[in-house]
Amino acid sequence: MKYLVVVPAFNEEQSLGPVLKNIGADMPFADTLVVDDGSSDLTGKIAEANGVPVVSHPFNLGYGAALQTGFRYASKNNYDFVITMDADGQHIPSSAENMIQSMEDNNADVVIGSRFLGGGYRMGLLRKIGSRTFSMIARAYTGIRITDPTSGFQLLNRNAFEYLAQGDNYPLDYPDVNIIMALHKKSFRISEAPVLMTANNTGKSMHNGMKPFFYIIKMFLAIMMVVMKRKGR
Amino acid sequence: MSLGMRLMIFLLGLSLMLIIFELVRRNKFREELSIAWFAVGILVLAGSMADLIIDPFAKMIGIYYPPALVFAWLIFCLVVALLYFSSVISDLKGKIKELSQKMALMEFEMDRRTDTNAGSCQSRRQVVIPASEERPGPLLRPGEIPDKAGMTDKKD
Repeated sequence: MKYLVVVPAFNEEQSLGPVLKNIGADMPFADTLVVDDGSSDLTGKIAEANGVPVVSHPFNLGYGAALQTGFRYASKNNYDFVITMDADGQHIPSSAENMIQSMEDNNADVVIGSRFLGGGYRMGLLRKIGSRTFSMIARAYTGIRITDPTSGFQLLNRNAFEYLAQGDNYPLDYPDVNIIMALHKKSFRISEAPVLMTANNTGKSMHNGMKPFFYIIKMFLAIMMVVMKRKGR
Repeated sequence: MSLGMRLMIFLLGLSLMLIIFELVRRNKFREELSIAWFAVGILVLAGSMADLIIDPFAKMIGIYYPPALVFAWLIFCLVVALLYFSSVISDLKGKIKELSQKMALMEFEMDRRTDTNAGSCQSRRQVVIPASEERPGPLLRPGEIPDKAGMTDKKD
């Protein structure tokens, strides 16, 4: 079985080195790919210095597009599973074992790594409210309890990542609860597994400033579109 | 409306149409994008007869200040044009994403092949010139491959 860890990275020169070292140490069974999403710093060079292949976007396309490039790479190079991890060091690679186990136990196509299932993770009130709201929407639609719908730590089998690698099946920016719902609509099986996550090391977040407001509006629209769109592969 | 005013509006519309036509002819404007602007040109041309068309129509639908109908109609046209251009931008964004991803993957594949080729050439040279040998081997020039005895041959 071939595993590929896809690490989308945008200006992550500070954290990428240790992240790649941890992945190498904790997941020796997996290959790693860094997708440099148009970084202006040494992100790509640091990945190469760590012996990790780097696919570089000519300019910044967005987190989702970087992941989709990783899915395309995995599809082209005949990988069986893809593990997606952030480059900021939030995700603890050793937790991937839980997701692999969950995929086997539940015969799932996609396993979402949840920071809340194991307990102990704290986040701000606003983010907690947002996460809970999306959690409830996901549960109402899919019937599955998803405690961490915004998690970027995921395991996907070939069926799932090949589907997401196609055209507009994956968003340019943040793939969240809308993708979980879209995958459920396409009859992919989804489960959750407890994973360890630390607080963001770099202080950068996708959800800083005014972004959360636009993000929530965009996400509600995306959810509506998933519900309204016709089924069929 | 005076004849002079009619003539001025007509000439303005005609100029707009000619400019758009010239831009399309010089390939500075794509035909499908020019349609919206040709429509605007036709509307301006029709504007020279506006009082004959708009005044009776405005009165018919209960608008007592006919220019208000013109503004409302123009705003509607502009909104439709903006919607059209938004859809064009959205479509282009999707295409740019596809192209960039494919380009990035192709570039990666090309680099990998180049590295593999360079690596295999280097390993062949290392086999022929052992590190333990104190005497320097024959100098290799680009395109030359050493044979088993350490002699050099031209690459095929």
